[in-house]
Amino acid sequence: MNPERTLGEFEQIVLLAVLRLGDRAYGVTILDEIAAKTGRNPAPGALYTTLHRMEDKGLVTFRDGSPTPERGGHAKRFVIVTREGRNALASAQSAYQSLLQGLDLLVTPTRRVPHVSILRHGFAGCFTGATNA
Amino acid sequence: MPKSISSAKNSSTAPSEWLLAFVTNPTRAAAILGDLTEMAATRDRLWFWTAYVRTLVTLGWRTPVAFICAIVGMRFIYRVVISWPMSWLMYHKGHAWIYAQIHPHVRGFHWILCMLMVQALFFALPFVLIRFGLRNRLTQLACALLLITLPIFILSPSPLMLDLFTIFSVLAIAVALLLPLWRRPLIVLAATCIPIVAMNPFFFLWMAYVFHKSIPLRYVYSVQAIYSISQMTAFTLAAIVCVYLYRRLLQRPLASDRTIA
Repeated sequence: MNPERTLGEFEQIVLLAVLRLGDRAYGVTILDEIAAKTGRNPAPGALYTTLHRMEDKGLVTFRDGSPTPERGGHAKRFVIVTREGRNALASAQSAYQSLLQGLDLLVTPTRRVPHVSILRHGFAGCFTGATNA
Repeated sequence: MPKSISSAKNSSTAPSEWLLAFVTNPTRAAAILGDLTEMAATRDRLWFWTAYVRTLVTLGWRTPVAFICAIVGMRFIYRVVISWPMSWLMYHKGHAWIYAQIHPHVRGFHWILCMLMVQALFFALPFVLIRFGLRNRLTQLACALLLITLPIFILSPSPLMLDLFTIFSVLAIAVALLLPLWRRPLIVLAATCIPIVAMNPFFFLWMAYVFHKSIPLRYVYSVQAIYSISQMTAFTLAAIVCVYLYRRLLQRPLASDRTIA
């Protein structure tokens, strides 16, 4: 993989947030989306640093909106993920998926092996949250 | 937007936006200020200014830190790293000087071009390394040129070595000029080095003035202070030139100008 196209964790989060927002992605909405979906509250400076770095790498591009009074007359800069950005994100995500395969980390313990819970605790154990751990 | 944020913005938009534009660029600065103003609508005035200062520091810390590290690094290199091999090799340097007297073309390259390059790169390399990172072409070029030029001063300088590394240095510059990928980094690096190199005539004039006029010691100190101030001015100028030209020549064009995939 090209070392310039490797993505950090926060870069991936930002790119995913931008893709989710579509044509509504700019600084404020990206921060809100990250907060809503990940529970993190990143500082605005961290977001802008990441966006500028990705712009320099060619992973995102910007489209200027029109100035609005609630923004003090400043225009929004909408973020758009470029083809390179999508490829880099897909590559990073596929690497994660490859590493995750066989680990079953995303499956909850009660759903993972219900028959073991049934054997140990009976049917009542499944509904009280008892696990095979 | 609350009245407090609105009035804060109206009273100090220009300086705050100018400061942000100084560490990023005008387009980005306007968008960031707009975002902060919009977010401040549901918060208070203190949040706006705290977020503004944090954003400013996050975006602009590299240049002052790089400048300070470059000054400290350069002093360290001069006083510790270079002074020891230079004193150790003084005998060989004498031979090198005699050789250069016999062959003036070598003296021209060795004692002027390479020494000026090394002097300027002692500042420029730490600065660009911290400001732009090791992966940047500007840093890589500065590193390569310093590594090619430095052996002239720290290795045993036989006549063959002098000729060899002088040729290497000139070849490296010529190759960088010929290759489109490295031409712009070389221009930025050369422009960065110019203010530092320009200090040398001042230094030699000062030395000549001190030794030939036999001026009292107290005046020597005052001249030395002036020299130090001039040197710091030269370094500051070099840093400003470097950052400015980097943005103009090496940074990608604004994203809005590029084709969207």
